[in-house]
Amino acid sequence: MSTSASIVSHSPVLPLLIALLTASLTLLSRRSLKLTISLSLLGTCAYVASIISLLFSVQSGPLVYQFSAWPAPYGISFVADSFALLLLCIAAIVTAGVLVYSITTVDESKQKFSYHSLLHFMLFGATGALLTGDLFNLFVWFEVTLMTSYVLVTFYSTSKQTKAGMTYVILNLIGGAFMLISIGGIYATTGTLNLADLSHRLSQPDLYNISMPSVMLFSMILFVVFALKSGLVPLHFWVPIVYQAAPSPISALLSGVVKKVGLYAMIRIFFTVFPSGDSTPLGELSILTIFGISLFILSAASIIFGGISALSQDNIDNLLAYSSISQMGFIMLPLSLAALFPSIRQMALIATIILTLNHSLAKASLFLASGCIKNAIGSANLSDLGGLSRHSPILSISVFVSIFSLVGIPPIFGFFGKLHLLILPLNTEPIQTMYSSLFILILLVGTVLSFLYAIHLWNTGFWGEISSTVSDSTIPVQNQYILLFFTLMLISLGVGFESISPLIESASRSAIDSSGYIEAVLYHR
Amino acid sequence: MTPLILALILGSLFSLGTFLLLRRDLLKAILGVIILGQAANVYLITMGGISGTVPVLSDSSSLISITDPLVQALVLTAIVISLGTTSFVLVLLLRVYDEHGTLDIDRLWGQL
Repeated sequence: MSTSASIVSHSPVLPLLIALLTASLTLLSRRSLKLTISLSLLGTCAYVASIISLLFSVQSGPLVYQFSAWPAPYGISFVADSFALLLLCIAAIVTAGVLVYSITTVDESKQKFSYHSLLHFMLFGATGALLTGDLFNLFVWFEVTLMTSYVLVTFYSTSKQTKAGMTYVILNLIGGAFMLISIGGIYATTGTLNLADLSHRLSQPDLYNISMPSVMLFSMILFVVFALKSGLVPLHFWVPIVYQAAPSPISALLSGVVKKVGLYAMIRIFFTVFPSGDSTPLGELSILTIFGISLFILSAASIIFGGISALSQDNIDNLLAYSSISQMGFIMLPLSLAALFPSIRQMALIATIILTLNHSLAKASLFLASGCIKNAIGSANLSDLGGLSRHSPILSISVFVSIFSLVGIPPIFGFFGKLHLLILPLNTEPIQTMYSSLFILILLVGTVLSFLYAIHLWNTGFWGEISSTVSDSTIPVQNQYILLFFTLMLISLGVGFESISPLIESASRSAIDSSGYIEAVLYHR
Repeated sequence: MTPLILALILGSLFSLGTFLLLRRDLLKAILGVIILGQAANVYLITMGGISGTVPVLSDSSSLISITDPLVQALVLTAIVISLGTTSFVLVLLLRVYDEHGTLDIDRLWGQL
């Protein structure tokens, strides 16, 4: 075998190894902060480069890596497809931005104390969770990601953080136990944990003697666990507590990386694995129908509840947290239609992916902005702020672009997400009118609500008279540049949408392509 | 007989975990979460079947008669993970006590 061939065959684990290596090296080098920071930056650049090069090399089809060359259903497979890599790409970009922001804002002693290492371990866990093709392995990567997020949420271990951290840890431990129960059940009923093999077996339940009602039960437990991790109503209550208490860069990572891991797992399990078993429904009900109806209710509730709650918040972090709940609803709503109506599945996935990318970038920028404000002014309460737009223009421009990208104002990136949402019920063959009219109604109400809380944030915090607390303080300019980076990304992705749309389209195609996934993992060794 | 005993043990572990989770004392709630996690591990073991012999392959043993070794490997991994999270959550408990001087859930979260 030539050297170039062997490099290609190992490339799907390269980002994983880079993240692990950087995490270990930054842990070892903590005597010298300069060395840690340069290693950390170097590692992030290498990670982003490896993800982007992988993203372009999987456009023709997924790359599969079998650990220790054990063939697919027996060993652990890693599957790098364009869907997972597009999400990883955005996670890498958000992490890079957060890292640069942290260098200037997190205390030096704290940075020495394994901060960089933890960030890279989080990226390591997210990489594993998005690339793995094995259900139990997914659980393990979830725990790796969550473990680092526990430490990062309680990083300064202030009184607020210990309490919020406790809520977060207990909830996720319970979630983990339930995930384990459901994985055990799926293994006992189907006899496999490999996602591709699972999908293959579910397509012939009689041949493998699978009882579909049990699979349905366990899939619903998994759904609840993923809904908890992505913070959908009624499992949302940890979101504002944790986001408000955690350090701002960590809140940016939680919404940009950790929540998206739960979202990814939901899409991967319910749109790549389970559809193949959907041809054998139990009477009227199939797994995807139940999933679709429950998700429709939960995400509609999230949109409305998150939007209304965000309106009445005085604290910026709380407002962003509730907006995050509402935005997760927007991200999940097309998924419910995709589950119910296979004909619009790919269009719905496109909307979900655009909204996910948009939310990761915009929320990262907003949380970092809130961190800047808290560091300089000492308060994130809107009642203490005012006139920030004249006081620090760069920060204000970033906040303006990000919050209105969440609302979906053209020409910012978020507009295309909303556009794809709206053409979903209109442009396809007539789907049941009840769903499409409800869908449009919820979209309209949700968008109006998000517009209102965006205006609320902007009017009270950034317009009006400069308040005394604001005029006494200065926000360091070097902290604001990284916000500009996110803003420029949002605008350029919006203006140059044509150039990124092939990537999004191929990501949506690979997310719903069960047979291609099975083919790649089980038969293409 | 063994399946019945195991089912009873599992049931009592889950109910004990849930019961403790609903206590007012944060330490008891955490013990409840830990027991729930361990109950999930025991449950995972039973999912591989418990009727066969030890999963050591030799010439004399046929593949049919051994217990599924995969779930046991899974549980080993899950136990290691729960060791890590358990130690973290106990240290965090100590920090909560340091910061707030109480472990009473009503007093910690009551005035939220």
